[in-house]
Amino acid sequence: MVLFVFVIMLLNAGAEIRHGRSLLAQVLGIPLLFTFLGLMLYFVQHMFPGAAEVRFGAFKHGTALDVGRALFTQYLLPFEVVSVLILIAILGAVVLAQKEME
Amino acid sequence: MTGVPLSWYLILSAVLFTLGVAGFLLRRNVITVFMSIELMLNAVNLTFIAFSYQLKQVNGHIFSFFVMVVAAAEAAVGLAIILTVFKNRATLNIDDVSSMKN
Repeated sequence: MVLFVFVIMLLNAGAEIRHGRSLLAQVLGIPLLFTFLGLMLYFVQHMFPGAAEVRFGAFKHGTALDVGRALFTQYLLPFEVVSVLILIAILGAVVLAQKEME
Repeated sequence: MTGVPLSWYLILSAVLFTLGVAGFLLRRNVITVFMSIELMLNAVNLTFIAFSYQLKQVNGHIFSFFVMVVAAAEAAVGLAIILTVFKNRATLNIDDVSSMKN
């Protein structure tokens, strides 16, 4: 989020240009979005009627110890793959930003 | 102290996700579209954590870690691309950046 604010500040693009939405968006898109939301709410309400209430501190085995243990045993390979992914992302961002220096 | 039903978390997540979809489809500003993607990812994170609580497993926590890492990588690369596009074309409107469409 800080990155977003930084980019908005850096671009200094002025006010957003607003123009009217297309007819397709008004006629079809917005009602479809509300239908989507309503369907999701309906299914959520009807799939978990007897779900336990969420209480603070009721989940005893969700501490940092358990998360770390699962992360470094069962999910070790995804962890390493994700570390390589974020390294590639950093390299890509540096390469993209480098062009502005020249 | 009374707890909060699990479905409320899922409903909040559904509302956030729908807001993200609406912003993604209806807005024409690149940065707004990007923030909508982040909003959708965070809605999915909230669902992961809620189900992790419900099932009393830490797998959801770990998946939300991975989602956060992917979101961070995506934000870094995407914002670098936005900076480069703004430098070359001086626009933030996604309709003006369509040279690959033809």
